[in-house]
Amino acid sequence: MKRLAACIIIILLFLPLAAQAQGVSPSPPKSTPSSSGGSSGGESSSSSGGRRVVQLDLDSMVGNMEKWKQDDPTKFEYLKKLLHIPFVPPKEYAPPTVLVWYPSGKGEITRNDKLDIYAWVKNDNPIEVRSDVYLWLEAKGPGEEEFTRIGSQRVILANEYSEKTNATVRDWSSITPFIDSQEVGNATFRIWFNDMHNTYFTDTMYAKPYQQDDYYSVLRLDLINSPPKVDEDSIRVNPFRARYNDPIRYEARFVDTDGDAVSVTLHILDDQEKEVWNWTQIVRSGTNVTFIASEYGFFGEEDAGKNFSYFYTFGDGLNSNRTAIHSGPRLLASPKIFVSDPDASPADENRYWWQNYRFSLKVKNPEVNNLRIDLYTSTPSHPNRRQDTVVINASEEVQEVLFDLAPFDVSDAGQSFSYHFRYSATDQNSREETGVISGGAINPKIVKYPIYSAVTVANILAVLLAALVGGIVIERRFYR
Amino acid sequence: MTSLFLNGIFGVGLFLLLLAGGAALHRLNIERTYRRVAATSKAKVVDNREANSNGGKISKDKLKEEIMEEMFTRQGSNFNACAVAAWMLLFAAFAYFYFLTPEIFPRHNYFQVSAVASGPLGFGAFGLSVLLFSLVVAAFIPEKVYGYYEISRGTKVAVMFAVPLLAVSIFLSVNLGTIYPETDLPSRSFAFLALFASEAALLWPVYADALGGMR
Repeated sequence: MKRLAACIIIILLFLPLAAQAQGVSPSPPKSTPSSSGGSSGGESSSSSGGRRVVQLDLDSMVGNMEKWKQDDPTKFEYLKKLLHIPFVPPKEYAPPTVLVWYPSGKGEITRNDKLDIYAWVKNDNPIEVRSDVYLWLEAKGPGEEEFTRIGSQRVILANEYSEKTNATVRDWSSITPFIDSQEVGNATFRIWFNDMHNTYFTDTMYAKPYQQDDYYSVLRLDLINSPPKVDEDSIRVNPFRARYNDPIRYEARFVDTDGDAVSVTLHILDDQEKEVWNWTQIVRSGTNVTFIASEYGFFGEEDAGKNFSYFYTFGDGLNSNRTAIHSGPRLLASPKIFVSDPDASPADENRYWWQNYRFSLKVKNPEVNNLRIDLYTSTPSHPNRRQDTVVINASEEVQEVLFDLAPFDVSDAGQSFSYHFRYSATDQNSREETGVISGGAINPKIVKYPIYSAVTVANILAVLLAALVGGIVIERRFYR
Repeated sequence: MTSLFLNGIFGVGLFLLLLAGGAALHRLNIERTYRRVAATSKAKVVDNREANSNGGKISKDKLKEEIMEEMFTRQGSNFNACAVAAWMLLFAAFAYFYFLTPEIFPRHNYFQVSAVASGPLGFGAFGLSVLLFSLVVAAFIPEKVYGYYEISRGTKVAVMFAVPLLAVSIFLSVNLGTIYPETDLPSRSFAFLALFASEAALLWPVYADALGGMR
């Protein structure tokens, strides 16, 4: 009965419009409703040839509607009820079947895995009954209470289904829904869809969860993570010995098999292993992280002469780890002494191993008392052998440090030797030793004494006499 | 010929071969003598288990022991003293010739022991240490070897002459050490010949008896 009344009212309202159909056209929307000032009901009338023509004006009608709403809200509500016609789907309509299609079948995923997930939709309704279907992919990560929508909405129109199977798919390709996840664990996917009649969730719309082949009513995956690792061989500080303002580079390489970015923090420790600085960089997996001390201002002049150590902490947001403590850099002290003219000369030109050699070094030492200067020689038989130490005190004059000694033995004969000095203060090159200096070859002659020397003759006679005495003693002791 | 004197493998091999040959021939000589005496013995020689001296039987070991006692001949004090000294010097001369300088065995020589070799008593220390080791062998040569041979006067002279010959070899080897890395082929040759002539003289009683036995 109400429907009938509503139809009559609509007919009454639009009757004049129908009569003047040829003369009606939609007018552009205005920003503010206006009153035509004419007859009620949004119509205007004009006389033409004795006939009264009613012309319906949309703006006037809207204005009347607003006026009625204000003037008589009760009747207006009643009119609304009369005009409301709820949409009732046809009796043969059935909601479409929607499933999550996950063809890759990979059950364990990482945060960086690009996932390809599809909505498989089957709509067996006749095309004239079908309505548009709107879909969202929703995901719930580890530790999350609610599903969140992933990507953008997908729409399936009534004519977009396969004629043979009445099915179609919509994809969400290369999605990384958990890239910022701070936990690992279960990851769940479902599809939200609306068919213009109702809203459904694939995880709740079916009586029991569906899973067959790669099709799921709800897709459950395991979000895993591989912790980042450090390439121990790549950890270095270069140069190891440096001035405090040198561009000292801390380098290391970190690898995350999942491809996660690695947050790397360099911790610098003083000689008491107390942390004095730290700095963090985020790097891509497999690339070198480099901290240049001078850029960060790690070291100052007051650090000259100190020994530092360092370690790294690193993580991918889920797992973190640290390296062992590595030593370095050793910051060179400010120069205290000036050295020059290292020299070595044998006692004579024969350069026999048993001869004395004179090693010398000029040192200007204005401030260090008890300065130790060590002489080292090297031959293939005796590499890096410390020969002697000289201690000198501070002086404004240049001092010549001398070592006059026999540094070799018979096994060095025929070999080349080198030498260097080490000292207990820093020289003008910020070093505590000279470089290795070649000293030339040692004469290959191995025996110092000639055959006619008393020493040689005495040695031979000793052997001969020992044999004769031995023979006599044995004979007297055992053969009588 | 030069390479022969400088060939360490050849020289050491020849030296050891002569020694081993002497030891083997000495054993054969003793065995041959025993067999001859046993063949002419009136007593019946039986195995040790069947030995019964009361029944006219004698064991092999007993017979051998008796024969060895009968065969033993004292060679004289001077000869024994010279023989012991000569055998000690033989090993010392051998060591001086092959193992003093790096000339023959560059990686196995006395100068690898640089702490001792670098000192003024290096030559003496080397020779004395070799004498000490060789004493163990040399002390028993007159009793265990020469005592079972009839050594002619000429052979005894030859054995005793080995002492000065070996002294010469040692002297020449030391001379080669003092001039190293220079070399002196005549010295090297003579030292080599003196060394092996002495070894031959010291082993001659054994080889001579073996030759006689073969005839």
